[in-house]
Amino acid sequence: MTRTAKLVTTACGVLTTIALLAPPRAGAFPAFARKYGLRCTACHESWPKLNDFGRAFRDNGYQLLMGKDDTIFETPGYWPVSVRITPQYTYTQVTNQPTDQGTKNLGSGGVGQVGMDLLMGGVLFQNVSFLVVPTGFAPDGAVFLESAWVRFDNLFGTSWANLKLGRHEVDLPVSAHRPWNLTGTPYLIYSFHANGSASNYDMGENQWGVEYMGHDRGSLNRVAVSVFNVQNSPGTENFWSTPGLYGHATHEWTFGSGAVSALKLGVFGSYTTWPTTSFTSGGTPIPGTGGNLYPSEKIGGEAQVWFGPPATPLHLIVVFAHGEDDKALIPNATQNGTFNGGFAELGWTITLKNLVFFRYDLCKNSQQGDPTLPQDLNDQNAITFGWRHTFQFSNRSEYALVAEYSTWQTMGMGANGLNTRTNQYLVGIDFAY
Amino acid sequence: MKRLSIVASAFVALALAAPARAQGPGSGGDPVKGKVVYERYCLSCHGELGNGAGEFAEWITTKPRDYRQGTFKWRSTPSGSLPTDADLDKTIRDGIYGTFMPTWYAIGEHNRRDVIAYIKTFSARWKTDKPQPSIVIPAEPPYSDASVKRGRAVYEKSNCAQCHGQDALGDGPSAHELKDDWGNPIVPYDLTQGHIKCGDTGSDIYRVFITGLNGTPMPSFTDSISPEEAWDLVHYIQSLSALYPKNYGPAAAK
Repeated sequence: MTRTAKLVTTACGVLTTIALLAPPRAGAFPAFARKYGLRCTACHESWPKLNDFGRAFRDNGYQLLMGKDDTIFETPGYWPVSVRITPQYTYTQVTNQPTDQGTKNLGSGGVGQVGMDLLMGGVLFQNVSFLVVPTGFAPDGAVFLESAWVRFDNLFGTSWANLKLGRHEVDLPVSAHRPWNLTGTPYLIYSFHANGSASNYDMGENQWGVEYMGHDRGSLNRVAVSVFNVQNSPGTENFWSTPGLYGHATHEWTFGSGAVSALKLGVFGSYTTWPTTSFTSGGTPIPGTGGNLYPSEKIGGEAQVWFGPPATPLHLIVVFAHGEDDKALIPNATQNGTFNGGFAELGWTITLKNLVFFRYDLCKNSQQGDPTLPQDLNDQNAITFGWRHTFQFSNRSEYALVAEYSTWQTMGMGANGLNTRTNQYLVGIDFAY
Repeated sequence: MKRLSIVASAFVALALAAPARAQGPGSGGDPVKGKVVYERYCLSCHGELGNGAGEFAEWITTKPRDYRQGTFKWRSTPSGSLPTDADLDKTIRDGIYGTFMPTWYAIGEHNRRDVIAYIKTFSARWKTDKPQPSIVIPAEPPYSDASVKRGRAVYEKSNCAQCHGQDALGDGPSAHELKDDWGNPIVPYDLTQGHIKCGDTGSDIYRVFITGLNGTPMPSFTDSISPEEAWDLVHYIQSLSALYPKNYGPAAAK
């Protein structure tokens, strides 16, 4: 066992002991909890993933619609701000990396370098809600606006008419900002493109645009459509210079009794564009000058099943998608690049304070744009699992111990065409106030 | 395709592997599972002991219900009776407008049934008493100006203004002296808001007149007003705000 591995083991052991000895007690936006007096568990299946009540609350524009939402009913001292930080030890190893000394495995780790989410949100007035999330604040000092939107809720007196304007997360099957895992392995299918595609569109990244959303009581039937400008493209600066479209619809069945307490099925799809030319300055694309747009598409489905008691469910999530990137986006391509992928995630809320989760991500190119390349080039897969133990939760705050491992493999993209694997170990305290 | 069929069949089998169907809304829950539901959703207001003294209780004015006495405001049963399981389910499902009791519709029937079973463990009364049969609500007569006018007369005759005020704003002469059964100050409801705590339909409002609100100064008027007068009073209340659904028949009621 390496010295680092011993340290990790020791840290896990110490923190586990702390977890077992600490007084038992879970959350993500504690300002809502403080406003309404509800515990984190009211809205979160296990923090930060929302449960049915949390989804309905979010879909209603952060409102309970019981006459207590308007800011006029808040005490003057109420401040709709929350912070979330995760001090952690992380060790990351990447295999088959090119160095001057040859192909090496590289590792690094330590405590620190953590950023912070500053969450500000709620209602401005009845049926007018907002969210502003500056994030970053890491030692590099970089801060960016993850979310900044205002939403007009229940237009014309119906929950089927809600309009959001600003930088927002599109209505994904599973929020990219609310994963159970804290390691760096994202839901791969959200950002995956055909090998070599210039498009950098990531479904999990918030976009500047407009979202229409509608839902019924309890959000058992939902539909959302976002129209936006794809972020990070050379044409980003012009609002509609690289347009994108995303849509998602779901239906959920709840069962009054039995082994399956709920089932949700949904479909989603995106059509985005990406520039293939732009003016440059010193070789760097000039923002707002992107042109010759070509499309990337994804279409997929989701199935979510909740087994067992709905208050402490075993939650199975399966998301799959087929995607295609235009050949113009891929160097040397003679045909469009296509791929398939998705993930299966299982989370078991053993008690209100303990969650174990497991996820398998898989993305495979089904047709290389350049047919001379190996079909599996840049295929990716990942396994992530972990445990979350919440020490305490109240209607004010929450903190929890998290221990995770993830391994992420990319085919043929390492030195000399070798596969690369990123292994990550994480132990930390996740808290929000 | 064959694999898909096997998976689908297994899923349907699991979904149907249900215990015997409960008798009605809110009935047949498991109190052990209900305790977890209670801890997840209810404890911060109603407290670990079910005494209405949760960590948030002291910050709110309409105090959370103390379950230990088995006294409930919102019932379909006569004054003094325990509520039916369906009554409790309605309260949890629809919430109580104007208070911090939200609508728990989204948590589903399964959770609600279990938590109702658990709530019943807080009071021994559930072991010794049974809910009386629900009151019978006669068919709602058409909403009309004449009915509203008669309802105003009933409002005055029944001395509603003593608490709710001449204009039903909740500011009657006694408004500031009222306390509930636990000694907490209680404010008469402003009936002009367009929403009634226990539901906005005509039958919801009618029910309050006849059953009263146990644990509060709001009495039952079952012995002092006739069913016709009660409906006139409902229509008068509904005339106070355009937000009330008027002549909202039982078939359309939630």
